[in-house]
Amino acid sequence: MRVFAALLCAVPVTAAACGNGSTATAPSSTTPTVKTERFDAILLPRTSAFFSFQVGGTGSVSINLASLSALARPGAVPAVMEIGYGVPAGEGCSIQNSVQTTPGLTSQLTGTLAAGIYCANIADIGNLIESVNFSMRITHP
Amino acid sequence: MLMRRSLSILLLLLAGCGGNTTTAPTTSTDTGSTTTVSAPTTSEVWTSVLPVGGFKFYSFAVAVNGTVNITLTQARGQFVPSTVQLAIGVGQPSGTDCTTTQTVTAAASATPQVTTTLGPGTYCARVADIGNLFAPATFVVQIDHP
Repeated sequence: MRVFAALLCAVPVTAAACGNGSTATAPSSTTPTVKTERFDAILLPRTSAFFSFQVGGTGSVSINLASLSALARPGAVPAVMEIGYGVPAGEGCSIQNSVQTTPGLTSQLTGTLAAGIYCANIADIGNLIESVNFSMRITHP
Repeated sequence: MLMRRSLSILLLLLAGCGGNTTTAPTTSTDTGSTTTVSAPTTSEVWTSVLPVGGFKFYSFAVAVNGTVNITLTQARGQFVPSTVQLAIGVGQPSGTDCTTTQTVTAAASATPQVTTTLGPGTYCARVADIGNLFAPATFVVQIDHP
């Protein structure tokens, strides 16, 4: 009887050990954390600039051109710029998707990307008459 | 009799746990699996100008796991000796730069200064002045990869 009781006590321990084995595999299915990266730099007329970022898993990527401001004077510059995303290639960013837009508070460009290294690009399409400070936000998994 | 039945129950429970134990070898099998290392099949030639104290990088895509060779074949310019030593590295594009995982300081040569094995993905070759330039240098880098 004493032996039987001891074995019954062992049952929860054994079950717990089994449970631990199963729990260890669970984290592999967690979704990647969403990150927002800022790309702040100076853009000269008729030039482009890009920023590389790593997407941790398939998910939605959004790009927001938040602001454009002149270097030499105060005030915003409401110029239409081209923003896009793609993959780094050579000395630039090979664009897969782009949009022409003015700075705004919300994302102007969204897309779904698989895990990998990508780039966000900003280019002047001929509207700048002076160098500007720009600020972009890239949100990705 | 009771003890024998109890032992049978315990053995059955332990056998149930055995199901989980069988998952462990799967992991070790993955780790031990051999990966084919392919030879370079693509050659990209990158020509650019390196400013004094600056850096440049060039991104390329590796299709399959294999050997990547980076060769600084030429560095020239006014007031730039052909023997000038520059930093040559390989890594991955990150932000506005290339984060290198391997870097060497070397002069231009026909022999690869950087050789490494990389899996499929996007990588970059990076050339930087480490304080040896007094004038911008035009350089040529050859990147061989699968």
